[in-house]
Amino acid sequence: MNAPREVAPVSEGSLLERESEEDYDAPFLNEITRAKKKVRRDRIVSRGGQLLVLVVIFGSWQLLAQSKVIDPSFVSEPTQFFPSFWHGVVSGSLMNLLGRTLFETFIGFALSVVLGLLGGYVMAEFKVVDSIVRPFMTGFNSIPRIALAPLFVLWFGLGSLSRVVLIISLSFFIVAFNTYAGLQGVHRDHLLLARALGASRAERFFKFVLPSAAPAIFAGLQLALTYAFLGAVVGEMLTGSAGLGGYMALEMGTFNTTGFFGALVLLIIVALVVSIAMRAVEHRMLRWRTAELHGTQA
Amino acid sequence: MTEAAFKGTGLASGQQAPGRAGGGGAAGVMSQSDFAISVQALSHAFAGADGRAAPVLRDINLQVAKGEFIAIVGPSGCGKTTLMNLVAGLEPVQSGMVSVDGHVPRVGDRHVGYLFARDALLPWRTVLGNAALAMEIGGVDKAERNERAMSLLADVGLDHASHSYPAQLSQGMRQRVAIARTLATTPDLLLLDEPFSALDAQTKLLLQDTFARLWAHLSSTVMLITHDLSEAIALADRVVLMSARPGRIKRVFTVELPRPRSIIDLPSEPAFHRIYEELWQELREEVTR
Repeated sequence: MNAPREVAPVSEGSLLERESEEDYDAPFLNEITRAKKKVRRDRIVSRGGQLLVLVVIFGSWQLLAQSKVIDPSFVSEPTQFFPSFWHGVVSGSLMNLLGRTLFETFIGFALSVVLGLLGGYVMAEFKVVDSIVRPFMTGFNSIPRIALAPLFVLWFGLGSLSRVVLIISLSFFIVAFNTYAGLQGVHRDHLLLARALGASRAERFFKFVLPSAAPAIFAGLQLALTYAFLGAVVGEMLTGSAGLGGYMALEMGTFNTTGFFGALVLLIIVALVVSIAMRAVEHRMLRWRTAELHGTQA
Repeated sequence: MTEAAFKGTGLASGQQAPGRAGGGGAAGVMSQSDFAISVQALSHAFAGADGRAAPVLRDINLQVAKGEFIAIVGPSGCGKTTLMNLVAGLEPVQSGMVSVDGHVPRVGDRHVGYLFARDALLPWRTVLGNAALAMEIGGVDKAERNERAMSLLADVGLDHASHSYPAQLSQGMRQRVAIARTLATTPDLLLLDEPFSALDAQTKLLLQDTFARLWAHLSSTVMLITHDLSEAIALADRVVLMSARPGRIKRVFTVELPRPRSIIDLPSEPAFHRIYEELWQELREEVTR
């Protein structure tokens, strides 16, 4: 996930005081080459290590199941559920279910983001609102929302709507609280500067407050997305209806662990891809954070 | 820069000020709008820890001519920064009168530029974006502000780093960007609150020199708050010495060093040392009081 790191050609004040370009470049270029080599080496080591972990997990799983140390009807076998996963993907049967789950996840996530950003903004901007709603928000947020799922089914039916509501009940607070914290965290010096430069209210918000809140907001989005997935899958499982969660519940009900693990593999891969994509967007938008956290890298 | 003219007004107002304190009437030959900054019978107090008012400034009278560079020195807690906050409009005037260019000071005045000890660079903006920030808020269009920001960055020796982020810069480089940001709008009045105090000795000299050279091309009035006597003498036309709290103006020194001055060579000038000695003797009484 780490983008190739390059040492930016600006690192120290000393750059200005060097006598000539040559003095400066020779040792510096060496340093860049060395840094690049190290990055490449580190990457090979980590990828190789990750592969090794996978092989060990599934290899021992296979061995233990095949030799009946663990009953394969409980844990299936990698050589069974990987083909089941692949067949489901190619035939499209799992993909249709996945489509439903993703649809619910993204609708729920999108609504949580819109409402959460709005809620966080209102709380940060209007102290009165914050002081009134905060205890209710904290109170509701401390309920284990999954327990409310049957209630949502009663109110909103067996369709996707009840899952969307469940997702919002989970993700909204994460986005709202992170947005609030981010908007509160703006540096005093920056606010003084905004004032001194005569920034308008809108300029103050968009040029000073919002960018400084962006890292906290992104952290909230990342977490909210995880919870959106959770809400969709668990919601489907509880109602036993369509979607990957419903399918998995069904497979477990018929004691078909191979089908269950096959679907789980797909779920893990999709969640990983979405999370990586999200991090890539964050990395692009918050390039300055990388510079801040790693010093000379941009 | 026509120093002679500024010297003249500087001297005149410096001597005039104490006289005005008793008289009260401001109907002199020059009106308030002829001065970049005019402070009359200004007193200020803060609520103390015990709930009683703690006086910070007492009866300050000060006229700063347009284009003049004035430095304010004094012991810690003498109200230097309070004085500047009052001139900046960051703090409401309690008693007396402050006017900037003939108006009541107003925070966010586009004709006033600020430079603080902390650079307040926005970490999410590149060096170029930071240098252009004041112009951006001032409504200068993009092509023009980028061009001007680049030329100012070249002036402060940072054009090669225009796409770096502040986190990638040293403290001195960061303050250079802040200087570029402040000067980009060519403010009529520059308020500097210990802008070089967070830097190491050598970087400080280099930056003072850079600032002095850039200021020479501007017609801005400057009010510099500093603890550093050398800095005050090297940069200013007049140095205002304040007493220990509650701050009064103890004495105003006129710095008769020719311009342009080379900040780096100044310490070897005898005249520089004479003023320094004099200033230090007076300040010492306040510091050790």
